[in-house]
Amino acid sequence: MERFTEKHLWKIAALLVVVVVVTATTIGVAEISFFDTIKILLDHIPSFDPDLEGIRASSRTIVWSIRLPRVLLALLVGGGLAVCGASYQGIFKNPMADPFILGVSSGAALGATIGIVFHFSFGFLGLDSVSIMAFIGAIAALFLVYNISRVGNKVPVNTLLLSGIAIGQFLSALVSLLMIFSDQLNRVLFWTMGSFNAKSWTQLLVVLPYVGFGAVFIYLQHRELDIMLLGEDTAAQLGVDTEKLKRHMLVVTAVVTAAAVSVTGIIGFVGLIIPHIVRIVTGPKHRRLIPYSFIGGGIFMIFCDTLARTLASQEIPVGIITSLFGGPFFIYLLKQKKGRAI
Amino acid sequence: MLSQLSLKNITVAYGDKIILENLNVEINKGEFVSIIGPNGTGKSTLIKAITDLIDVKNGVICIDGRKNSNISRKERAKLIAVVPQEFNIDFDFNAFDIVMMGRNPHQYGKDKDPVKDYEVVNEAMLMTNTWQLKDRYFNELSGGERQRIIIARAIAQQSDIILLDEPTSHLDVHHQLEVLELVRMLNKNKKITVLAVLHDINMAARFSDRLILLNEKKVLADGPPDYVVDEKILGKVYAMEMLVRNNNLLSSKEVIPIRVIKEKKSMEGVKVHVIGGGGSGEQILERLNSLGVDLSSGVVNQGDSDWEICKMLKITTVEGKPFSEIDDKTHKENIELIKEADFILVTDVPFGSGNLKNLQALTHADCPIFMIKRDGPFDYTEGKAEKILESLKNTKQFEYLESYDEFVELICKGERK
Repeated sequence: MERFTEKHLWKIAALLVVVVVVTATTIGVAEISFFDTIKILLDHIPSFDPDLEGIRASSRTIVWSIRLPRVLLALLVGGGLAVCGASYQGIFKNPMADPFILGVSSGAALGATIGIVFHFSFGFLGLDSVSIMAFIGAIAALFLVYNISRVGNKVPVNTLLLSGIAIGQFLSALVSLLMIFSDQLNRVLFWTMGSFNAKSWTQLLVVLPYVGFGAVFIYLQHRELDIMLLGEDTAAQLGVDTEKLKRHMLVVTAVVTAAAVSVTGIIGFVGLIIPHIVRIVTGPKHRRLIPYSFIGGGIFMIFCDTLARTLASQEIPVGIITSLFGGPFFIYLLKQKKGRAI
Repeated sequence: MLSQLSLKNITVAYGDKIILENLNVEINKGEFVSIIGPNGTGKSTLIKAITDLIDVKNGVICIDGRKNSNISRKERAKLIAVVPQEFNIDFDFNAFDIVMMGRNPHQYGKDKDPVKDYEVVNEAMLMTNTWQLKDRYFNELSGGERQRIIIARAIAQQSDIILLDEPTSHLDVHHQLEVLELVRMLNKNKKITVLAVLHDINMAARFSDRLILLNEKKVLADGPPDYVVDEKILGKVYAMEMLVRNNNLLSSKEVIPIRVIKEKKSMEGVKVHVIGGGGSGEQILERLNSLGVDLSSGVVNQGDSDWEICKMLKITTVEGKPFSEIDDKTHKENIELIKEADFILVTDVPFGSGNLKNLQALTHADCPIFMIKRDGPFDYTEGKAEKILESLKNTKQFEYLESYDEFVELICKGERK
């Protein structure tokens, strides 16, 4: 029975992703019909040769070069953040953990702010200076936190979490300081609330290898991540090299988060709540938790971004939407569980 | 014999606080060894040191002749399985998942063999009688069931050594026995070497081939249970008065804890002689003993329950032969004690031909005599006892008391004067 449902769950999930991506791609300010959108998309799949007559060239550009990469980037970033959150919650055995808990987001924010405030204008691999600075800031923050917490060759989890929070607060204060003395306050503020606006295939292709490799790497540790939930001592006694696992997870998760955040800005809440919601359905085992978190996070992010770009005449930062919808929904789920741990 | 687990000159410390110092322990293949000792003597730390959860400052630990520090976690988990104290987990894993985690050290790289894993887990769960629980959530199981699951996990690790860290401390007696019988079965049938930290000395003595007594960072005694379970050795370590006796039913030694040794004995030097018998004196003897009173008792027949209490508490006792009349020799000894006493207490014992001399002996008393008033018939000697009692009332300082509390109160007051 379990195998039956599991098989079908996979199919349903895969189908759902395709439907959500296509649907989100058809939605937008420029009115392009559902069938036209599908035709445009099919045109790019080899051996399909749909009839494109009567579809304007501008529509084709909007669907293929603007909407689709944006939707796919949302899938990738949402999925990546959710997977990172799930793995952190596992290794820290802490339900409050999210991908930003070790100060990675604050580091990225500081990097981006420096890039914005000092008008850096270099580029690399098609990325602008702000993205590159954000990436560097994120990795630097993790490096700092990791080394502060390190005792010999061990990294105690509680020290790690506390120094992560301390460094995060410290870096956030620096961001605020830079902001108030700058004429770029708006830009910085918008960056810290995240957006998929004006993202193209370039950003998507830059983020893809990080998120792809990272998610697969984390998935491959699923057995050890399960055992970590029994506590570090027990895990070590069951043959898990806990320090190595933590180190790998920290680095991989930070790189994935840094890559995501550097192109989109900080999008909160997804990495925290999606794993919890998914866990209610799949149970705690990471073999299912990790892939379904990716799918759940991706779909949720596409949903939020679609709202972000269509709700008002002016685009709303997507980080606002994720928290605005995610918060109440999550509280509803907590109440449903009636105090049971999730 | 090949020592499977050897600790040589081990020193372990948390920061500057030394927990174990120059410890030497050798465990042979197939042994069931238990570590006992008071709280805070480093029993659990020893388990942590062996499983490399805490650094060893000094000394060498060897497993199967290999240095512990050269063994990776994965390899060690194939050599040693650990059964911790009963615990909870915050996540909904089912029992099967938990046991399967025991296969982790065998699931890396080329070793991976899902069919074998399933078979081993199945066998381990059948052996521990937990297969029927496999789909239940671990958290919803009872303490005893959980501990059996954890033992199944240890079996699934297929290690030659199992360490148990107070595996029964949260369990009721039934489940304590169940868990330890299971471990002994593994030890006997599968030749698994067992090293268990146990709180319960009696359980440890009953199930182990050898006991190691830890106290103040060191091994204080190491040997078969009959050697280690000894009043002198244990009494000092646990700072407690205890009785050690042979339990013939289980053919092992057992400890009966009596009381914690109090530093001040308030009534030291006050001599009280108790005349009882037939179990009438049990409670008051123990109570007076705990007050530190210089107690004596007589004449008590051997095998009488009052006699057993006197023996346990090491009270000066004049012993008579079982089921016989008091002979002249013991009678004289009794009189000697009566003459020396500061107070005499006669329990609510009835008098017959067998113990009449106890009453007669009181005519030699120089101190106050207190007698607990008996509810039922007192005289089974056709008036002889009554007669002696009458003369005592007339010639001695004699008083009836309603209860033992009154007596305790009285001698306490007397002491203060």
